Amino acid sequence: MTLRVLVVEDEFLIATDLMDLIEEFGHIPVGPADTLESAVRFVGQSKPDICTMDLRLRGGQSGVAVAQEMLQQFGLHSIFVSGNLDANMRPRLVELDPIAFVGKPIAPHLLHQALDLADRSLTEHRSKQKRTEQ
Amino acid sequence: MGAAIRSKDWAKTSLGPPDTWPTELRIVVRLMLTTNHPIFVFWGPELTCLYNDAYSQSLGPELHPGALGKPAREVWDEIWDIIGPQIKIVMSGKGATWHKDHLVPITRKGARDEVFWTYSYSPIDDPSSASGVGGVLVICSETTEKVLTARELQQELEAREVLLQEVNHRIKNSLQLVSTLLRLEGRAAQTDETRSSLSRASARVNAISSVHELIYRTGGFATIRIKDYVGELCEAISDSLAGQSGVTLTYESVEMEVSTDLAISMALLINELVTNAFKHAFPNGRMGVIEVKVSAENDHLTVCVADNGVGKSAEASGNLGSRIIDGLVGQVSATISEGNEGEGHRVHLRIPLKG
Repeated sequence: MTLRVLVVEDEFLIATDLMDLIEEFGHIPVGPADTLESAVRFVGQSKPDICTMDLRLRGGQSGVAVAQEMLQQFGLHSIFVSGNLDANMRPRLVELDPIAFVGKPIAPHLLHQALDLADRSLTEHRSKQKRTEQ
Repeated sequence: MGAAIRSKDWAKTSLGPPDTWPTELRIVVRLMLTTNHPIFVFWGPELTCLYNDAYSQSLGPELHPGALGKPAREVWDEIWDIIGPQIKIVMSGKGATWHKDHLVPITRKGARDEVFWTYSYSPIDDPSSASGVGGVLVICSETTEKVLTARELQQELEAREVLLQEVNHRIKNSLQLVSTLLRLEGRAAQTDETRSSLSRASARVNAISSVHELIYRTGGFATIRIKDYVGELCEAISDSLAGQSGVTLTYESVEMEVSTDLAISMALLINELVTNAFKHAFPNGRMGVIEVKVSAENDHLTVCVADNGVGKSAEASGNLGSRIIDGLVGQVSATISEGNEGEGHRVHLRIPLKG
């Protein structure tokens, strides 16, 4: 399926790169959002399926907090895209049930894999939902 | 203090008039008054206090001159938990104590000051006392200024290190932006050739960025650990190239520190050699392995990049990649040897280590 992907990233150039790549891989990029407030606004406007999430956002906002909000309020899972995904950081993100981690500089094929993964699990999840509804 | 001690009415203290003092005490007081080192004396069962001019400078009006001739317990009540046990050790004949830059706070001029001291408590013999010790000789120097200066310097140093880390982080981030710009430009390019040139330029910037990433993450400045960085670099190259083919990149390196300058040159060299192998050794979807190996002998490093592909193609020379390789090889005074060995192509770099 075609995913609508909300890009949460405060660095404009990297956001542009991400949006281009998402489009190249056949999905629809939404955003970019660089704060919690703008992310919430984009969710309302564009109904994304998943997010890509930077860890350090504008004004020192934490991407972890935004990811948590996206998950709890809207049920949106995140692909974390960051240069700081070291061994200390990953365990802290596990409770947010992330789709995947992608380091910076962004390796296109790793982002592609992460999007495929999101696609598969979302498709599966929705068909399960349909079955329980019927 | 000589005058103060002479004019003091000692008959009203437990020491009694000076002409009745034991010889040991009189010798010590005379020594104390003739030196400019700060000295303090506790004497007798009440540990009566005596001190010299040099010592009086560490006291505020709360204690000086009132402390002269008073019992220690009364004078030093606020620090008795610190000095009481030490006095007890010395007075009971168990020897002397020594402290370096030890915090013993004193209330002076209305404020409780953090005062640091380097000091000894030594026994003053007195055969007439049961323990053989009649008093305590305190030879001390106040080191507060030294300790506080050292502390400030340490804090300053830590702040600088944080700043330097921050700068390295910025450099890394800026390099990543440059690399992203090149990639965006590449994607917008009209021809395959331009696209590939911009993508190679982006990879070169990433190679430099990976060194700064490591400097930032490990907190090293002048040198970085070669093993970590070869891993980091190869993972990055592999991430950016392996997605397109069935080629695996393996790496192996000695554990060793090299200068940041050399690391950056090596990063660019390894990036060029590996990219060449990816590009030329495995045409038409051929599968294979590229091996990066960094080893060290006494005075030089060896970098070997080998593949099991189709051997070196003629078109690989003369382009910017080979100019970068030749230039950097010259810059680090390395020697390069290469050839088609059995299966595939192999490049050896021998890089001398200075000093």
